Amino acid sequence: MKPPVSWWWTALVGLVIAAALPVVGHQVRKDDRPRCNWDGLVLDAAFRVRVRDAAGAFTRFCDVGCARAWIDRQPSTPQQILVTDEDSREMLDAREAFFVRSSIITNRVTGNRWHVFRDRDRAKQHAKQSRGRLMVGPDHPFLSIESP
Amino acid sequence: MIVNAYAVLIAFVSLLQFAVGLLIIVSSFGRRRVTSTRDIENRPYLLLLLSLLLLGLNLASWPLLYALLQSYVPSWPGVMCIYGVTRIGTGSVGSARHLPWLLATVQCTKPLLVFLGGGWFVLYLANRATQTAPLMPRLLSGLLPLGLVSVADAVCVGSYLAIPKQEHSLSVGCCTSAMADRSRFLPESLLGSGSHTWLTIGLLVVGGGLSLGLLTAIRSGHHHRRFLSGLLIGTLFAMPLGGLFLVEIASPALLQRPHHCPYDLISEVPESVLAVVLFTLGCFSVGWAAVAGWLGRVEETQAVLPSLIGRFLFLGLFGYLGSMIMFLLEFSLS
Repeated sequence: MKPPVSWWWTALVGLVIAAALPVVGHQVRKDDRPRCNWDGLVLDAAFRVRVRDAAGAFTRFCDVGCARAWIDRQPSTPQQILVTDEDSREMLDAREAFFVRSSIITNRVTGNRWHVFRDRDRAKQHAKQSRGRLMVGPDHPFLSIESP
Repeated sequence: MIVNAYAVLIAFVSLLQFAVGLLIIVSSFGRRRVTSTRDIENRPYLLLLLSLLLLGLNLASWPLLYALLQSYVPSWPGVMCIYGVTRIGTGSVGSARHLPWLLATVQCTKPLLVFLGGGWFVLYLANRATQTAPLMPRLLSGLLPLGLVSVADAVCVGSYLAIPKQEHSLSVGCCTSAMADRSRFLPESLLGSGSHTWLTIGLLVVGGGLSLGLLTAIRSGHHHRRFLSGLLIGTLFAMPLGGLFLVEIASPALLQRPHHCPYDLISEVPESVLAVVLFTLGCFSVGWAAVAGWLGRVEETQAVLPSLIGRFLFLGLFGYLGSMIMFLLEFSLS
């Protein structure tokens, strides 16, 4: 049985609609806000992390947890990790930062409890106030690049 | 138990599935004795109507399941998509330990039910086009597996809904172990790292070959069993290839993240779900055409079968072409 011409036309219209959907979808979703390369969440300026890989390219993450998860799955050690000081929201090298894991969750979806500070005393104060702990030595989140 | 609108809706649909499925099983066994000619006239038709209702319920419950799972995502911290929901209960010692396998079973029975129902419906259409209903015995015996799988599916969904979704673990983890445990909510690659170019080429070759085969079958009217077998074998290759392609290549590329999670596409690239549906439609249509060619071939259906098979092959061609066009466009836009 050969299908009538009307079937082919109907199918053609259907295929054109199917082809239009991805284009329309991309236009509707157009969102230039920077997103985490691990979980796709919109970056919060207070907790963002940038990792420079062996090739020199930077990758963005919404928090320390996402950056760690991504680094764990990379074959090579990153060249540089930039983290954000929670107070000033300025980026600094992870080797110069102080990390605290406290009871304060920064994002309910990721459950991130890592807090980053430029100043050691501020980090200790946060740890004390929020039942946290300063993570140094083997507890450092980015052990592979931690300064000796 | 997490009660929301989707949970109530799917519980109701599952209850109907269970009741109708059970009725069909009992009727298929013929436990009720036929007492009059009127019974002979009426009972098969009531049964067929019930079966059509069951087909509709089975079809509706498939997308409903994923709507339910998507609605459960915000219920647990750390769960970001449906994959995380499917992992809830893993390693638990309470009744929640049954949740993962119940969900895995349901995710297999839903497409199976749609395929079985579609196959049965194809035979129903062929039978309707005849004068003496020669396919009625096959139709009635085909109801038994459909009813059994429907009841099993409804029981699994009901159990999944009823089980409290609170995990009880033997070791209450400290912050470090809890952090490590988060990785179980992240889907891993099935084939390991690598570009897997062979997978894309393989799928394109199989998909292109199937489309050409279907086009040839439609245009020249080749509906022989041997030709249908060839198309069916191609489809059996295309299904796992398509699944692997979705997990390994399509999901990370469309999400623009190193996530091998097709579930994320539902919320983030919803139109790609239509591409998956079209691919499934393509595969199932070839299967249904094969069912019509093998199980629907009796003397009285010789006249209607080519038209019926042709329609399903046409639907299959539309499904394959539509999904390929949509994925190619999605990739080029990503």
